[in-house]
Amino acid sequence: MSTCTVAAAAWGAAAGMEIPATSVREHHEPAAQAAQASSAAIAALVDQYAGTLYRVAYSVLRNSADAEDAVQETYLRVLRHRDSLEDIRDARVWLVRIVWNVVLDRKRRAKTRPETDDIADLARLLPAAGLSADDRVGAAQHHEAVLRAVTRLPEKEQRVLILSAFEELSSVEIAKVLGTTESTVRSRLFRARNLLSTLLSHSRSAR
Amino acid sequence: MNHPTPQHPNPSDPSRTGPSQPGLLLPDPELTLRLLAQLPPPDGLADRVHRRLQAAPLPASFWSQWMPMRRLQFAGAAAVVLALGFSSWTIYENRQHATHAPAAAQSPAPQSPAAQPTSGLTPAGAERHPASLKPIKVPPVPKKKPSAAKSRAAKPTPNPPPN
Repeated sequence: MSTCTVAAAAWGAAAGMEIPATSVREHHEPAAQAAQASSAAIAALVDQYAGTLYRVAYSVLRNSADAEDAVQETYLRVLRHRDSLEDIRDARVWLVRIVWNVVLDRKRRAKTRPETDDIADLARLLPAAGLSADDRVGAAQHHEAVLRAVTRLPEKEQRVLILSAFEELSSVEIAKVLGTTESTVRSRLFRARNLLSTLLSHSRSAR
Repeated sequence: MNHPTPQHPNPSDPSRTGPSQPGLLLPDPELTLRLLAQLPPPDGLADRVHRRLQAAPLPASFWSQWMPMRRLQFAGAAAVVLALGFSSWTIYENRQHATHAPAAAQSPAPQSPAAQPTSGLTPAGAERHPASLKPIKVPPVPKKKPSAAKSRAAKPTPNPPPN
């Protein structure tokens, strides 16, 4: 039995779906079946997209525990809308949009937290396999400079740039996540790239 | 955090040079974000989410508990709307009748004693006559002739003849 099926069965039990052996059974059977179906659908969404949602959350929050919390909160919100799951056209974009809003809420609440240490830690955390020791140090310094420059970008450009790094998201899907148009996304991305290169060249010349 | 480390592209690889810095042998700045976006999730993330969802109480609204089927919910809502509409129409109709025939509504036709249902109690021949049926007759005030009064007021009264 797959994880998804087990989880769906467990959810059914947790939801109190034991059907009594009386005439009430006929009345409640369609509801129980619908609840089980929605539980199975959510379990499938967890198995399929939890990783993607975690990466989206991590790219903004840059903290593993916070990102995992954001993913769990996202699925709890999905659970609240379990009756309308059939109406969702593109579940992936819908979920990314939910996790994006969750992440922005958390980011807004934790605005006072200093990010400088996080960025230095994160730059060291990024993969550097296959590089020599010197190259690793250089790569970490470069990553740190880029991440600091990204934090100095205007908020809208920063968001588009972060989402565009996800290869599984097209510009149309980014537009859906951000609630804007594709042309706006493209123009913001163009501006973000120009600003980023300017900021990086300034920091390089300052060194 | 246990992130497996994917293969990192060589930073001095010219093929990885970004379009914004054509001459520099530095990686594309977006490569950093791409590497960040490719960091794999921690092990057992999906299982932990499953467990959390199992532990979470299922948010069920009052309506979904009472009438789990959506069609039934719609039918119930429609019935409530119809009942509200019918009752408000009834009230409106009653008001219309009341404004068109106020007199009829205020003075109901008296029923004959024979038509009234027998309750075992008799009036013992007593009859009540409301005051509206027996109006109090006030005798008219005797009118004085205006011409006589005027002539008396205009003419000075002659001295009475001496006795």
